[in-house]
Amino acid sequence: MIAQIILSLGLSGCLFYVISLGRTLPVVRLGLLAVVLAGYVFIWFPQITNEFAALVGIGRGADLVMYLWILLSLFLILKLHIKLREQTETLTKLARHLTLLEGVKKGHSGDRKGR
Amino acid sequence: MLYDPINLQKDVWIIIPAYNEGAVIGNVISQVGEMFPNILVIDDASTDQTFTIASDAGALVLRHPINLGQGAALQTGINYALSQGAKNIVTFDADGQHHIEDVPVMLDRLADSGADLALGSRFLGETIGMSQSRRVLLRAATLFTRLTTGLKLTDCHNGLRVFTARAASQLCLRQNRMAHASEILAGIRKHRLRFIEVPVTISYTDYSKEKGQTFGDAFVIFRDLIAARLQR
Repeated sequence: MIAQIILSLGLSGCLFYVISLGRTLPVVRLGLLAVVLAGYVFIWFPQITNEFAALVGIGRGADLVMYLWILLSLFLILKLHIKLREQTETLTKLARHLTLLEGVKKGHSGDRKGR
Repeated sequence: MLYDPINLQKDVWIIIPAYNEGAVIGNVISQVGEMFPNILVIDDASTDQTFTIASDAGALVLRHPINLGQGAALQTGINYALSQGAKNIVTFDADGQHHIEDVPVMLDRLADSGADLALGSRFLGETIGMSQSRRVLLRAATLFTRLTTGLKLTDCHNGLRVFTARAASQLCLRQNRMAHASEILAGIRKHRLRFIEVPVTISYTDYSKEKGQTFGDAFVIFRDLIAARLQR
């Protein structure tokens, strides 16, 4: 029971984070929400994992949870990687805009001028 | 052929992306300056003297506020050159591997062929000091590119290229780092640009080998290309 309460508190922290994301990162948000909800079920009704595992041809419920966790983690990492790329693109455009705005520079004595 | 820099090459812009190339950039600019008046160095937030040395050598220098990568530097240079009315844009490496004497030939061949861009090919031309392992890696990359893009190329990762303004304005590089070379080839296919390959000479020095791509970079390029596909 103690472990279940501690794990549930941890998941509640995750749930708070998911809610705090608001409308950003919709896919990541839904993925995390699914993980949290499934986590609650598996923590309080562990025998369900065994039934699911048997249903899909995996020996133990613990194995099923681990496989699902790995898959979800990889998916979320991929989504975050893509999101990071998008932000890098935005940053690149901004940096390029600043660079072109500033114009070409002259090195002698540090003076600068647009061309 | 004798080139008059003022009258014949005023619409040609040589774009040189540079990151911490202070050791060689001055010499490269001096050589380029003997043939072409418009030299634009994009200093990708170098931490050495690249900016000062390039400026002192006579190049115009744009400086990124943060390090973005070679692909991003090229796109910045292309944007600037187009805004200055460039008719041809040449991408040229800062590490001294390229020979400026090849560029007039590429420009001539491009004009004669009516193509949109000319790509340098070391395998049609000559290599000096290239290791066997790099040759194998580049050959493998070229084979992979031929299979994935359908473009009949002999050298897919050569940084020496000449674009017409029309081609340069169509190729909007989003790959900031090494994968931009593959992105250019994908853009050629996407926009149905006509290209020619021109034999060029690539000289490998200890310096350029140290700065060049490694076997592991091939995986980074592959990852970036996959990620770009998933992004849209």
